[in-house]
Amino acid sequence: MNNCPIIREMLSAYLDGELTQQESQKVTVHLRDCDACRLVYEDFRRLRDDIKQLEFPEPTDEQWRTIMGGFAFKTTRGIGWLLWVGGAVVLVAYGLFELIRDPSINVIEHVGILALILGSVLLFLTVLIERIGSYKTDRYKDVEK
Amino acid sequence: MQTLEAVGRRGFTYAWQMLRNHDDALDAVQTALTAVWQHRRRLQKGRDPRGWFYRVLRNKCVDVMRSRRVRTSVALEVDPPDRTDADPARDADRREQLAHLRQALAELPDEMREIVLLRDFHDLPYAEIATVLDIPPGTVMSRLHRARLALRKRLLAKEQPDE
Repeated sequence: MNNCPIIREMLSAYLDGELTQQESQKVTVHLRDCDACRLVYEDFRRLRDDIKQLEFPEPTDEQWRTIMGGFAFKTTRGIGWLLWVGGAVVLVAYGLFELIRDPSINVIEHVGILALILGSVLLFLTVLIERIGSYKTDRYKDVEK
Repeated sequence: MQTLEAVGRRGFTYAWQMLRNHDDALDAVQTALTAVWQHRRRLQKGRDPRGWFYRVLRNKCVDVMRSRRVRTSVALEVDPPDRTDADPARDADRREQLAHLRQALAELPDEMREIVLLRDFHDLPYAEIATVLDIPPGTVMSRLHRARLALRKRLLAKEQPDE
């Protein structure tokens, strides 16, 4: 009985501990008696051990800090913008509310201050919309600054 | 469970093995880390974080390779570490062995080299390799086996050129 071809197919998974207990047992028994298959198995094991010893580049500490800095920057930028815009909206709304309620300010002053605030909001929105529009078509948006 | 730093650093090496370029590898790792962080909620629902990180990283590397249009054929060469064995002759033999291995790996088709490195260098189990390469676990087993046989054949040819 020569089941070497079947066992050979299982040698990699046997080495990696990825066979069922029953399959593993079958390979163990076969390897005990088959020099040719044992040779292949030993070569696979040597290859695995040697590959672990190979040296490949790793990021230096400085490069790693750059990666993490960029990563942290990208992930916190969204949160920062959200907080900033949320806070501004609350403060402007509260300011407007207080302004309208204040009896000591006359109508002309009311209109002037409201126009200034409204103008600032409109200018901000215009710039924001323009930036969003140009960002969508910017070919270089993924280039790190 | 490996730390983010350990997985990220190892991920850099994986990206380098695919791209053979330091800056591209750094960029790929940063993008992959950001993607994993942004989708961390989905990850918490039973997905394997390391396998998923490697998969995102691999996709990014594939994008970079496509954008280059020309595939790099640079060998897997890096400066050998500045270490010496107590026995200079044994040290030289060992260096030669590892140089042969490195060369044999570089000669393997990309698909084979990648799966061998994922298993033997990055130490990923078959299930994680299946996630990274988006293939069934059974295919991992057969592809890895074929890759190891091919690597062994190339290495034997280098070690015993006259036989």
